[in-house]
Amino acid sequence: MRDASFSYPDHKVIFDGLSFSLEKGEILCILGANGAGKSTLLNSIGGLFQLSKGDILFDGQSIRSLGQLEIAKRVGYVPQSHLPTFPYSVFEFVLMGRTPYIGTFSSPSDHDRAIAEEAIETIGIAHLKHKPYTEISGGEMQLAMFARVVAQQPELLLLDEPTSHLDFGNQIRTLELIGNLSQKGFSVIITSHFPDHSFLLSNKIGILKDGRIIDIGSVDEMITEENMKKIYGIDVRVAYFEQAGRKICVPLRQN
Amino acid sequence: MRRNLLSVLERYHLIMMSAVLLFIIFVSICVGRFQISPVEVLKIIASKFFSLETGATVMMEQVVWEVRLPRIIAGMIVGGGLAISGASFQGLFRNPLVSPDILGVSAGAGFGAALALLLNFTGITVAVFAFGCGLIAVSLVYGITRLHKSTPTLIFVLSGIIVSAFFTSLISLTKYIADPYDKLPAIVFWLMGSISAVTYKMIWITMPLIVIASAVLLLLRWRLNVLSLGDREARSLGINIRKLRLIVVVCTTIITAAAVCLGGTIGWIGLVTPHLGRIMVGPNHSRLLPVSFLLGASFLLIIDNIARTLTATEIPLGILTGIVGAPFFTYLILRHKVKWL
Repeated sequence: MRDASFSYPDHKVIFDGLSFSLEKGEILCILGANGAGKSTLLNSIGGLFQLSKGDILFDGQSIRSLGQLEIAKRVGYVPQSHLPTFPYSVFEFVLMGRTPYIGTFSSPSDHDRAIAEEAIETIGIAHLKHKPYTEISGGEMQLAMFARVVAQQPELLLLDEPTSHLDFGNQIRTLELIGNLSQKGFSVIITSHFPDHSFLLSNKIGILKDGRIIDIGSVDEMITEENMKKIYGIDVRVAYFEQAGRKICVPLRQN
Repeated sequence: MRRNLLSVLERYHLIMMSAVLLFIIFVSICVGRFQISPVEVLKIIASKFFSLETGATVMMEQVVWEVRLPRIIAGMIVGGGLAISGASFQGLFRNPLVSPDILGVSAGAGFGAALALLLNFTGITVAVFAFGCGLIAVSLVYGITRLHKSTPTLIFVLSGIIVSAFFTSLISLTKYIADPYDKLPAIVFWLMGSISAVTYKMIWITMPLIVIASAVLLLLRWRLNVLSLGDREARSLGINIRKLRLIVVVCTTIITAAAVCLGGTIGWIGLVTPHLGRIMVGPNHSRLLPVSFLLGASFLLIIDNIARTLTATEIPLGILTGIVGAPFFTYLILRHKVKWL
């Protein structure tokens, strides 16, 4: 990502002059307050919004030279939540991830079906395969969306607050899953509202504030008491917690 | 037990439903004010292919070939066309309450026909007026959406409602100024829908349009699935939604306008039959579209049979589809707990 900017037509600048890069298999977690521009940034990388300035490069190839279809083969996007209308089975839903590889007038081939099956196995939701995806829980829906994006076989996954609608257990399981996917070679960019989750992912952290990445670096460098104060305006403690074997980030009572 | 039945239905649905449709076609040939027994009908049909002494009168043969058959063909393409358009639009707009006339095509076509009748035109000219005004109405909708910056799908529905309301007012205007003894009844009857006066000429003009546009929708079956996930997700899966949406809108508009030309404004079929289809084979458009077509064709034939046999004078189709459709739809919703509503 090179010097990228985005502003709405009414000149409200959402972010400006962002630059960063991501290697294969790396996870970048973007933290920032509400309205800092995290989702807009993800949408721009996915080609859903057009940059007003700057460029995004995939292996040196500019996003401006790629069509929607080419982007879809490289970048998979998982929205914060999905509101189903029609009761497709989980398998059909996952199979839709194969769309970039299916001709306009064609239907999925046996090869596409096999890949969708495999994605369902990878995510571990084989038991849900034939269920209507209107009847599964929020956590299961999240998994179905992950399976769909795995079936899409992109190089980069964009996950928009993947844990925000999940219960405590599913949040942690989702983080584990994201870790596994990055080990399989997917690069991942996620946005999050939970600085503490970063310690579970051991990733790169980008801090977005007022449309600028104010800093980017390792978890240990970024998740600090000063930075958290800067982003969220609250006092936190970051400390090593022996019983968990990791660092934690917890807010203090504010008054 | 019901599960088993449903899974059998799902596997052999096309064959079974085609068989049902064939049976309904056969019944439709036999049914009518002029009595012809099923055996005679079989003989008359067979005599077309083999040299066979049927013993049927010329009158009988004429009723089968010149009166009932064109009507049946018209019923099939109108019913099937409206149903496949409805199913496509419900997928495109991610809304199961959408019917094919949501973008104003029926109101536009209705106005076109009313205007033509008011100006003393008859036959094909009325159909051409209807078709033209139907296209104009949808083009207006499309024009309005282009004025909006990001054109989310909802804007289409809103613009459709606006344009429909406009043309409905124009229809009222033509009725208001029409001669109440002569033209007004003609306009009212036309608007209530009927396929009683269909000619082969009309069929040869409209059938290719309906068949080709339906075929394009069938080819887009997988894309329609993805579109029904929502605009943003469809785009993230590499779909050019503007282009695809335009193709779907053009195809459904052509089908609906052609159907209105043939049979007037017949409601309900485009709304109800896709639901029945979804209950039978699920929401996947690969199965839903062909099934909707067969169901719509069957449904309209049954309705038309009722229309021409129930009373001494024909009942307009638009009235019957509502009277039969409303309770039937209520039953479906309650009985199957339709989950997508």
